[in-house]
Amino acid sequence: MALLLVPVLVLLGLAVVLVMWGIGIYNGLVAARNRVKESWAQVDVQLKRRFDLIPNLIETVKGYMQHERGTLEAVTQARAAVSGAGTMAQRVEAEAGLTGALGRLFAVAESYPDLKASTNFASLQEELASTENKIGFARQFYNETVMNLNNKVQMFPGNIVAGMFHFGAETFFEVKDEVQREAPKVSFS
Amino acid sequence: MKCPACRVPMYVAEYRQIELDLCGQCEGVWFDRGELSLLLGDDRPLAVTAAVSEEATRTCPLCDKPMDKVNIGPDRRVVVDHCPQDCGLWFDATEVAALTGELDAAGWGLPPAVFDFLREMFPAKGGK
Amino acid sequence: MWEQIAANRRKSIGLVISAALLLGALGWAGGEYFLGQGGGTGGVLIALVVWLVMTLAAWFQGDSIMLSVAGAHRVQKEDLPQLFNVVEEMTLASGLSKMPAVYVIDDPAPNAFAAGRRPENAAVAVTSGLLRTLDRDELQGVIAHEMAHVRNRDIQLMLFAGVLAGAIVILAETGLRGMWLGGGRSRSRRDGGSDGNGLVAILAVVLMILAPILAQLIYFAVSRKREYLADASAASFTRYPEGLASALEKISRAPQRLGGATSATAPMYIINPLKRNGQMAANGTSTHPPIDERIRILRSMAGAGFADYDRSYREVTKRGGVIPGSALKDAETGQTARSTGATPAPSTRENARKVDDFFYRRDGYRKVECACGTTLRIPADFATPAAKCPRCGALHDLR
Repeated sequence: MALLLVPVLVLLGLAVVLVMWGIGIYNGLVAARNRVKESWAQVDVQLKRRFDLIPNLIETVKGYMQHERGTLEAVTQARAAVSGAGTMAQRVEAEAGLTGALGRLFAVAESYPDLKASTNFASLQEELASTENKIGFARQFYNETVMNLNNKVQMFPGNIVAGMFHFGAETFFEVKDEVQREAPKVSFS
Repeated sequence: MKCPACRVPMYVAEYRQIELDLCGQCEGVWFDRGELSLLLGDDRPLAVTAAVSEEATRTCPLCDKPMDKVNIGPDRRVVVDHCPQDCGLWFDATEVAALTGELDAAGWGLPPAVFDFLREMFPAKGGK
Repeated sequence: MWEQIAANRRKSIGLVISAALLLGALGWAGGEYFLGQGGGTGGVLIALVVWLVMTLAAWFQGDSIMLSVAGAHRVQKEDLPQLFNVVEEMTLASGLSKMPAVYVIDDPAPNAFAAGRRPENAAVAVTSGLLRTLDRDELQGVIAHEMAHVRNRDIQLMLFAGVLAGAIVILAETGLRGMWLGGGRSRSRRDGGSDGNGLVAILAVVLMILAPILAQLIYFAVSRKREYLADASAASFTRYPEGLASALEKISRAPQRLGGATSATAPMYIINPLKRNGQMAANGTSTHPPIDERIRILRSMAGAGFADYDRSYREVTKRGGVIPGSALKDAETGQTARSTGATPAPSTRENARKVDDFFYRRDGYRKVECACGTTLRIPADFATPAAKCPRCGALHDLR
């Protein structure tokens, strides 16, 4: 009887350790997934903020830039494409399109000294430049959280626990537009 | 900020986005280092040549250190006060007049941008 | 990133324990010496009480004292939109859940610091001189560095380390002074003068001389290490090491010195406010690494990740790495290109004017627009009843 008890206890002990270990991994996965959710929420907030700033921008710019109808319309259309996007992939592409359209608008604005001198435009410019940065930084952090989660989900031994509880890998928010990605740094000075 | 000469509060005049501190009593002018670097787009310390002068020593309105007398012209006529910590330059009222009266930026110790600005800010009072 | 924070926490605990042991040993030796044989426990108790009181004081008042000593004023987004935006950007990049409060100090010396025990109630403060001198990218680098102090929980660590070092210094000084005045010596003689007592006396003296030096060296060493780590984090947040490098260069070249900083608050500043131009900072008694070295490390980074910083650090300093291995492992994402907005922001000069406007408004200056295009600002305590426009000579009545 006592002879049997020892291996049973050992096995029981091992099982307990294994379960505890599994719980640890599980909690790590949940934490990682929550970080991804939170960081995506941050990206989303900034994307929405940009979306909301655009009508104001168009309104301010319209009077000065009558000869740039095409550039303005491109921004409006890109904004519409964002609200029309269904899947995550579409959304990412539409947002990148909006970034490009806005960039062109501000490039064109450089040749309108009256517009540049307007304080309203200057503050909008800082707001949009900053929102653009915030999107970038939030995206950067989001991708880090995704990388962290994906590593946990795909690497041993996390993948076992992840498989048992249906934890999946998340998609990165990457800027597809290679031109934009390699664009030289814009000087703020 | 208090005038280095009269110790009364100075007022500020802003033109072309550059600010100068002025004394309402003696009409002296303080040229802040921060303003100089904004004007020049450069923040390196000013290169100035030491001068001998019987003028009373002034203390820097920012750091309270006694300022050095320096020459800013090749003919060694205009002597101004320069903070040893490079906080800025102090022009007595007569010195501003001396400068604006016969400004010749070429070859002067201070960068031309500073003189151009001074010329605009303190136009020579012709005929007075 | 999270592994690095965890490693930091372990390190802070390790540091606190080792410094606490030093404090305990000091207390024990002092107790044995002054309270007679067996008094060690009492000594340890006294040391603990001193430490506890100091810790509690620092814990509950540290931030507000630091901010008020430095003369910092809280600002909102309307006051300085660009500064506020940059702080918000770096909050996102660092993944902090709450944006720190933003403070400005009216001081021509460019510098910045972070305060706050927990990331949730942190604050960053910058001087008006900093805002006047730096362009947006440079400001971003500096804020990123301060944000790294917040996120890496350096403020907490340095607070603990500082208090421990302080408690050790105070106890050792009191002890030495007591010995000098002969307290305890007569008593230990009366106790019998055994060999053990002589040994305890020597041990106590040695500890009282060495402990403060040791404690401060630990403190400075930790502080310097945190600076490198904050620089590395700043590079990885902004993905642009040049911003911070160029900011450090400008700050170190600035002629002014900062008022309102003490040796206790020094480690939280972007550059050592107590030393000029980063000179002689290579020795063991500085809170900050030499600024030239920091700039060179940042400038020779191949990318913007922790691994790049570590490689560059090894090359420049010829010393071992500075980033914990766990941080190197999970920082591989540091390679993405910097996603800078295609929209340019207002210039440094406009920004400098915004900063001035803020302080003029706060200090009650009166704004007078002259017809010639010059703006006059009159202080509340201006003595003369009229002010002359220097450009057109017009007199403006102030009554």
